[in-house]
Amino acid sequence: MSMSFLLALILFSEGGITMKKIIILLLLSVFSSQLFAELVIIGNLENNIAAPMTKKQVQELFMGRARFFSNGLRAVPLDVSDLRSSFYQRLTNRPIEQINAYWARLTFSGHSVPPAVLENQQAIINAVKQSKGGIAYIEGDNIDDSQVKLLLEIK
Amino acid sequence: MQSKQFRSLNHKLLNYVSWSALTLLFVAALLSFFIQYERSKVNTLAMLNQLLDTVEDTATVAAYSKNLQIAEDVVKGLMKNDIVHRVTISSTDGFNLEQSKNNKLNTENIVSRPIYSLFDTEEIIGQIQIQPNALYSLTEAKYDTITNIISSFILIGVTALVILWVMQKYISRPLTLVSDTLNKIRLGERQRISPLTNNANDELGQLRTDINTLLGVLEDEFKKEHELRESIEAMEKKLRHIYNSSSAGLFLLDRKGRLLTSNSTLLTILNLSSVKNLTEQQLVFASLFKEQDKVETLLNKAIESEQLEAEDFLLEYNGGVSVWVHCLMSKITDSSGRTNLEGVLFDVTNRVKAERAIQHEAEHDPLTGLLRRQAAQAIFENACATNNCAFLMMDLDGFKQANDTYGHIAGDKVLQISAERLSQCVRTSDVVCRLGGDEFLIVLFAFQEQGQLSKIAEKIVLAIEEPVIIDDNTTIKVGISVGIFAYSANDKNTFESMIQGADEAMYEVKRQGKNGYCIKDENNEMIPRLAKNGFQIKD
Repeated sequence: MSMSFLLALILFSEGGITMKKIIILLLLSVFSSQLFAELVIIGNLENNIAAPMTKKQVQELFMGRARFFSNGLRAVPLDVSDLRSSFYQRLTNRPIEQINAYWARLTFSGHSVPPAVLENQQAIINAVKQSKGGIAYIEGDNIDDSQVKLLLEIK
Repeated sequence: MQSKQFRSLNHKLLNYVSWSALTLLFVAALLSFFIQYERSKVNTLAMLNQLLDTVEDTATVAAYSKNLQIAEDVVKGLMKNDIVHRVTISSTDGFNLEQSKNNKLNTENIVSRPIYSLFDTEEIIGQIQIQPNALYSLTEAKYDTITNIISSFILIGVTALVILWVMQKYISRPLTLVSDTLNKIRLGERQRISPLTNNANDELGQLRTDINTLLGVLEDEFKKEHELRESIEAMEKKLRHIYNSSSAGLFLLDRKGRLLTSNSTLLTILNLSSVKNLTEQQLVFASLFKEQDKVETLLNKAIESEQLEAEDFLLEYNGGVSVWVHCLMSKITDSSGRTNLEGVLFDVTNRVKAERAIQHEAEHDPLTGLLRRQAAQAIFENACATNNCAFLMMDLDGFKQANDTYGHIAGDKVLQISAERLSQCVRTSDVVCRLGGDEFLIVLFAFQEQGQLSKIAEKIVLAIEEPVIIDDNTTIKVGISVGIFAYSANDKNTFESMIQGADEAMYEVKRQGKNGYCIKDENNEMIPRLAKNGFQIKD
């Protein structure tokens, strides 16, 4: 659903422009960059895995179900704190709270560890560049093919 | 006996009710058990599903992340439930965890549920299985069943008790009362069944009323019958007394003349008092008499004529005693249509003897014992129609002088002895008759020829010629003149004409010289033959 379509829907819907609608519009404009920006899954350039990967493969790596890429490389999934909620929402179609609860359960068992969380996208890119099995996500606008390998786009 | 039976009615009641209650209970328990067991199984299944619902998320996480630790936690958690016997969690290309209790009784179905991927609801990533504890369902069912049994036992037991109580109070006890009372009551007595307080208006009350009515009717009937019987007995006694004390012999014969019953007098008359069980011997009545055929004729006459028949019969006892009885016979037909003969027998010996004596006296000459003229005439008239007869008319010669000389007594003796001699000269079937004075008549029946007559006449003349000894000093000698007149059966001669004929012949002898005989033949020729001229016979 495009941003402009949503705006038009809110503005011209029955009842005219009210205060409530204005507030919603404001909130939407604040989060729009995060909500609707395209996310891309990136990996180390040396990782010879065939791109694009399937969404499921990515899912399994990030949710701790799979620890290796299909080419046998050990995967090191990384989270970015400001994109995390948006990413998991798109990847698993679940709110971040559930993902947290899932990891809390696994962590309590002592056998699994959730992906490490980094501050920003630059840190992520650096981390992926340094780790051969690194796999993370950044906004599509920030991708640089010379530094990381594009593994999958998710909208 | 009967009260025992009724006590056993109670017993039966108790038996049937308690047995059916127990059977019901047993069936109810069995049914309840199976129903509870099935329900428990369904419950178990539901509970297992609920358990699975509870652990499903955790199990999914464990299976998805292939985390054995979490899976173990899930299994342990499940195993804590009594209802769970065995738990299996498996994840595809991951772990396979199984745990079970030491319990071998496990026949129940396994509840199994696939574990879907957390993020793809169509991808199966594992399976969780729970096998329920069969003992659990069994135990549950058992407890439920026991509860049911207790409650049904109370219900059924109480109902049975109430039924028993009602049956006993309203049916069996009143019935026992009725039965016991009826058992004690002797028919025809005044006693009645006492009122049934609990059954005044129901069928048993009605039964009691009806029985009492019946008893009343019976009592009346019994009383009537008793009175009737008494009067009949009294009458019978009287009649029996008359019957037995009757001077007449009373008896009953069947159609064939066999003796059925008799009174004691009859037995006395028949001289059968000492014979035992007379009626069982089927004694033929006629065989008791000397003239059996005459008795039988009388019996037949009585049967045919349908009126009273009577006759005199002669009885001869073994001791040689003769008894005359007068017997009356009549036919009777009893209620069943059988024909019998009833009879009365009188001892008439004295009467018959008297009668006979009178008749004898009327017919016989008292001095000589010979027949009188009338009797002779009667015999002749009875017999002459079929016989050749010869009349011998006789008169003693010299009797008047002897009578005058020696007196009446000697004369009577001469007459007596002459009569004896005459009787000896003829057959007993011939008639010897004193006509009066010294006149005698002999009627000879069925003579063959004249020669016979001559022989007899000569015998008579010779016999009378013999002297009659009166006493030691006196001997009387008389002669006789015999006139004979014979005729054949064809001739119509009367007694008088015969006597006259014979008389003529006799006078012919007297005229010729007495003491001889003369036969007057059919041609009325008379040739006297006198003793002094000699007779033909030699003996």
